[in-house]
Amino acid sequence: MFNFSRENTGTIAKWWRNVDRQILFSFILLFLLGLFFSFSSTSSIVSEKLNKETYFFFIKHFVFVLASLFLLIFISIQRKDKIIKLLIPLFVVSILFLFLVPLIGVEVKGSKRWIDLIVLPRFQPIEFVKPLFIIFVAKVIILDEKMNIYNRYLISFFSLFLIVALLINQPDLGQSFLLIASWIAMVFASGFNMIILIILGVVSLSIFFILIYFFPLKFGYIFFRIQTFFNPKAGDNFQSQKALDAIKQGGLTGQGMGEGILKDRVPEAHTDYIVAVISEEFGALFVLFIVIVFLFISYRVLNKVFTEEDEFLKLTLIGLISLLIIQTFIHIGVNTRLLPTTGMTLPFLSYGGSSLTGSAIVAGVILNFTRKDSSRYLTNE
Amino acid sequence: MKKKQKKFIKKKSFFFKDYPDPEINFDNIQHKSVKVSLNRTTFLFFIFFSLIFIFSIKIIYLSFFTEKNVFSKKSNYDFVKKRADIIDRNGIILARSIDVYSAGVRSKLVQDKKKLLINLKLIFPELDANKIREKLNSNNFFYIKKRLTEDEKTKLWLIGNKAIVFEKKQFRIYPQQNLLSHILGQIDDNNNGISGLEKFFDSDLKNKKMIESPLQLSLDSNLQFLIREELINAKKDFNQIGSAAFLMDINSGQVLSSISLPDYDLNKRILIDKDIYTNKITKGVYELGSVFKTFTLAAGLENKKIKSSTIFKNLESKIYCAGRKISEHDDLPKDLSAEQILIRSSNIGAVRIAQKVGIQKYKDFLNSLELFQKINFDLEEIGTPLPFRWGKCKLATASFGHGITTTPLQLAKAYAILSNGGYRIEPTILKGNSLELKKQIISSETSRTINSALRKVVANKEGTANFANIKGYEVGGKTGTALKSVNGIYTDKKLNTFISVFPTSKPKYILLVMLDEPKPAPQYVYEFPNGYKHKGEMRNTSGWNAVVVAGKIIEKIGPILAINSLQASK
Repeated sequence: MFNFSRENTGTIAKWWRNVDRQILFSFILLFLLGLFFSFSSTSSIVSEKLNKETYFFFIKHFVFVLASLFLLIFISIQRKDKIIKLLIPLFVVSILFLFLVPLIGVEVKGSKRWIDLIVLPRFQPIEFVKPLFIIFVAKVIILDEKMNIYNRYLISFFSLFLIVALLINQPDLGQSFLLIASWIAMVFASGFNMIILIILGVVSLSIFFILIYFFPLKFGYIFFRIQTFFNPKAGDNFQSQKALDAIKQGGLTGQGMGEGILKDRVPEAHTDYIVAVISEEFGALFVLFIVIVFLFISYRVLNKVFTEEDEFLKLTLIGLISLLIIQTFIHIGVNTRLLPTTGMTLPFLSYGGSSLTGSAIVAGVILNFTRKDSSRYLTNE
Repeated sequence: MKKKQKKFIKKKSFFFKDYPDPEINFDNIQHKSVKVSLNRTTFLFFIFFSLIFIFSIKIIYLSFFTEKNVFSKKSNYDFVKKRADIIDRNGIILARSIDVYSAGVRSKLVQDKKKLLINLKLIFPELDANKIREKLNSNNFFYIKKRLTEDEKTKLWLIGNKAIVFEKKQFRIYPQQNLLSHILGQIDDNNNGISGLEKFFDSDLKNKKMIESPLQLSLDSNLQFLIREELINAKKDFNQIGSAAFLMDINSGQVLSSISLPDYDLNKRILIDKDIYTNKITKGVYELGSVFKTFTLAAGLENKKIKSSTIFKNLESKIYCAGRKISEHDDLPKDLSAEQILIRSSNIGAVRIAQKVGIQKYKDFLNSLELFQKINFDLEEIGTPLPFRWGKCKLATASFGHGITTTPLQLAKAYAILSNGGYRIEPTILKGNSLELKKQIISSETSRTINSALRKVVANKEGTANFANIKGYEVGGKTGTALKSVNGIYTDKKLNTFISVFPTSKPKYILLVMLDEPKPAPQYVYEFPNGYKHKGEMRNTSGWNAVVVAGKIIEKIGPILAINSLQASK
């Protein structure tokens, strides 16, 4: 069907030769695993809660996974200069959507995170903002060389601040933390002066506490979450307690597919507690396997970072892989109650169109930037 | 040069990529290009990997605690009992405190009222949508439902609306519902006992040190259930307005069952204020009638005034005392032995025996059985027998149980003392709280004679309690039919008692059955022990109803008691 020999200079063939196939297949594996889990984790809630046909969520997930895979390949096939050209407009558009959230957003279960435009299905703009933000920061720090170096960092910081302000307002603590952590990781890796970084960290932490202190209504819930985390008896630990129980119940090898109870007990188990669901049904060893897949991907990407010479690619890859790792970290942490409760999806595996598409963008860009011919379009043509 | 290299893409010029040289840009440090530090990257990812590694360890660690059925087991890590459980003698839970949730709605937080209404209606189809809509518009806060079940709570939770709030409260539940309503009693909203055991043992039940060890009663809820069933069935036949039964171990004084009907469901927490709900066994103070004749006979025997074979000749059919007539309920022979006076329940005969004993000795005897003072018992509701003055006429009427009051509990206690060989006992409702048989207050000889007389009441053809002669249990007992007095005037309404002891050769249990205002049962087919069937009976004295019920009860519980005592003796 396809001819991948070296003589073939078609786009697809070139892409196939140059793409890091190990990373590609790891991503595809993760997507398929997610599809498989949603089969078991969503079928029962649908028939009970929504009175729709049993595979409603599964079919939706399936469609999204297919779309995401196409998107992933589409992005990874693009030329890098195109991506950089399109970056600024896309980033601005996604931030605009984020701005729209408090105005025309839809509130679901206490948080306004979604917008519902008539032409598009309901989506969560932050999932699109995240990868674009990472690339944007890398671009500003590395590529805008005319500018004063501190101004470059300042610009990236302001864009972070803007996004985080919008997120806290939703409220969405987990994503804010994720973005801040990824940004810090990037700034750290880019060789920023450590002393200034520490000073800035102290200053922003104090601002954070002042905000909590002076605006308890708006920010008090953060304090409350942390309080419940440290003192399990104080507050409402319904979800995290159930998730812990589920992991214990699952043991090393799990209860068997479809045998879990967590998904019926905890709302949004198929998104925010997917690791607990997997652990209950397929066992802790399976979760370990998934973690290893993530680590493998980051290992491959880091390999590329160490051999790559283009600073922009390096920083972008570091940022994106930090994004993936930290998100996985938060998700597992919340599931095992090592971190305070927050709604955070597991990339590639959790149910949800926005999350899947966002993951596909991250994966697509990673694949694109790890191609063997990765620096070609950046330096010359 | 480096700068030019990087200033990039759009420039279509062709050049070879050089090795990057960081040292080049000295002149303007502010405009230096950023270089990704590989050391820092390594450090960063080392931290990331370690964190993920720690989390994975946590998952593995957790999964080693494989507990089966974590979900069905109540995870009570934040549940602190405020009140100890109450269990029966077999460990069956009678009362337990649990957390219950009430769901309320904060109307101001509701964004989509219609959606909330639909959701609520889906979970609670019985709710009135219009009322809730009204409340949503007018009240700031209102309850949707109090005391949610676990299932309902989860469903409400899954709506995920922050306007729905849950309130946790510890609540007392009584899984046996009506079965022990009079014994257990109730608590108020602040965890204070207000009646029954809950009040009597309030401080013990709340004692933090003992809160994990349940209060174990001597009651057997299986027996309680069977006896209660029989009493309820009896209502169909005899249409009594109330009934009571009491089963006690004759030697230890441990109460096995105590029932008073009508009863009520403790879980419904309704206000109980009608007289009809009185605990008839402990609180009710009644004239109990002929059951007192046993005491009269025992007083005669104990004081050596008579023997069971002593013949009383020329008994009148009626006598007068202070202008009041005392008569027999039936045509009886003129000459009766002391024993036969009991068997055939002769009023005049009883009077003669009592007169022979004399006021002082008769009084002392009854007092030694502690019939007229308030009894010490483990319940809050204890009746005090009405005070009276002894006199000639009092002696006469007291001899057959009229004009003299006590509680059924005290009656049972006195019978137990008479039948167990004369040893003093103290009824108790707690397991493992029984007195050792110590003080003998009545001679074994009297006890033996009384037991054989009681047996004859049931077994002899002319006895009044033939219907309780259940084969194999050697039932003995005495009937009592008293006329109820309302405001000091006797009515023709009856209070029928049958107190039985079995097995009479070595008594173990005492069973008291009391029917309040039983009606004649012409529709009921009486079956005599000899197989003769009788229908259309218009009499409603104790022998025609209370005895029948007692017989049925013994027939049912007898095998259980027999097995239990076999196990106990092993």
